[in-house]
Amino acid sequence: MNSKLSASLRKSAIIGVSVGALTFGAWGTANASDYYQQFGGKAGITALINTFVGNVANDPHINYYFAHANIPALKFALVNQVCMAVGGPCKYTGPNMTDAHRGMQITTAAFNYLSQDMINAMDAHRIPIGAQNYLLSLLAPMEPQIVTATGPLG
Amino acid sequence: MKNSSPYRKRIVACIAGMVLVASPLLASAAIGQANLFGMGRLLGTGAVTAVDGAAGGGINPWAVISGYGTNQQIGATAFYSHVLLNNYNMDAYGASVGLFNRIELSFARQSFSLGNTGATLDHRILDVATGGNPPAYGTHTSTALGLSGPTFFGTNYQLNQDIVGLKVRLFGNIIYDQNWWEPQVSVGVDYHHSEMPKNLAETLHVTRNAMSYYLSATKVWLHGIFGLTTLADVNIQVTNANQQGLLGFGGVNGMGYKVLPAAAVGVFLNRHVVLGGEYRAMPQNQLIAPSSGAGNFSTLGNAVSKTSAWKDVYVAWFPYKQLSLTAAYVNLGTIATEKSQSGLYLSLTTSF
Ligand code: HEM
Repeated sequence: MNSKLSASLRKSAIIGVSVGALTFGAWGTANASDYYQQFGGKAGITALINTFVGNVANDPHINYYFAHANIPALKFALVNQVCMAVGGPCKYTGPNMTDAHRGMQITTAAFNYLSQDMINAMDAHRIPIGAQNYLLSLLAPMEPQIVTATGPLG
Repeated sequence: MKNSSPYRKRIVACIAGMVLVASPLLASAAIGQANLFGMGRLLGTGAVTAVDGAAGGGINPWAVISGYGTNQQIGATAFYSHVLLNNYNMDAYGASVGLFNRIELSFARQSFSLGNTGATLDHRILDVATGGNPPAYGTHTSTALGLSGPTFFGTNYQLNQDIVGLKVRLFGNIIYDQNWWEPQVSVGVDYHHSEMPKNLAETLHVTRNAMSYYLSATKVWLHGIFGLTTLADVNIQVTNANQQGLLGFGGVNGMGYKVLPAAAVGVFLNRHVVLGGEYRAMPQNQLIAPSSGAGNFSTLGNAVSKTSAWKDVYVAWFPYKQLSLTAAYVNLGTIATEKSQSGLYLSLTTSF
């Protein structure tokens, strides 16, 4: 399972970087491991996830989804996942995003509120905008795996 | 598929528990169902409002659906725009509804004011129509010149137009499609109704009602140029609208539908401020008289028919989802014989 996720993360990273290289190659954006530094390494990411989970807990739009969550385990998983995504020396070993959120009836709105909570946390930790956008560009494509609640027109 | 039954039991228990916990806290939202009138999309994804009433940039519709509703929500917007050109002013206002991030219905009313330029145009018409021997201004009507047009524009003449738009998102999502090339793609159809007087329409040889169509593809790279969120939009318009319909539709040579491009780019300097530019090709239909025809009316027709592509550079500010303010420098080129119509565009959109 973890190999599936790491493969998919790596795939999105590779696609992201190659699309970036194709489209914006001349513009010299930072590479993933620079971003790991900009997130403040493992310590910075741990602090970020603490703030983020705090934001989610205080967000009435979505906090009820986490009523029965194992928060320490979730933080541990998220730190490793984010650390790995931004090029750090970590390994996320949990289930893939489809399995991790199966049956939770997560809505697009909930996904976006959670994204905003992450943006607010990154702002609070003064993560540079390029590093923020790099992480967001890796998280955004997970929406189809995480959001299962549909609307009247799809 | 594997482990489906223990999974399902756990999930059912989990959901039941969550619903029990959540229901007293939040009457408006439930697991799996977002608040119908909530604004569940991310800041900026409703874009601003184009002068034709559609969500987009200042002069082009984009593939986004107006407002901030997700696939479970209904959003709405209202807008007001003012364009201050060298020789004309334009006001536009309207409203839209975005249904389930799939369908956008919009209405816009545009008023194009000639101001003092009306008198200038009158002189020009007289001059051409009389072969350079105009009678004293105000002593002749256009009928006396053999034109069926109005008794000149005078001052404070206004050309008004209503536009009703329908836009449907076909596929793609500007935010979630980050790991492959697919843009968000929508089709749109606009019904235009110009309030131009009948005799003016006859003089120009235009119709006062018409449909126009477009296909819009909008791509957003969250991590784009310099790591900043970057937007590109390309449209194909199918239209016969002269100056977007302010000078009617079609011309001497009939319906005159053209297939034309439009494009826009934008870069988000941060989550609240986007800087960009737009381009919109305009159809050019021959008005008043055939270009090759003999006589002064052809000369006049050629001059009035001249259009230029519309262009702008803009900065839009999204302080929060309920409000956006846009300022732009627009260049609409030649409009009704007046050259280089450039100036300031200001626009406000409120979303709810
Ligand atoms: C890109 C966005 C998201 C990412 C990267 C993500 C990541 C994760 C991860 C890594 C786990 C832990 C899996 C495990 O170890 O079993 C998890 C669990 C969970 N996630 Fe997400 N998630 C995302 C979006 C969401 C959203 C939008 C919601 C709901 C609003 C949500 C609700 C949950 C819940 C309730 C759990 C289970 C926690 C528990 O049972 O202890 N997630 N997520």
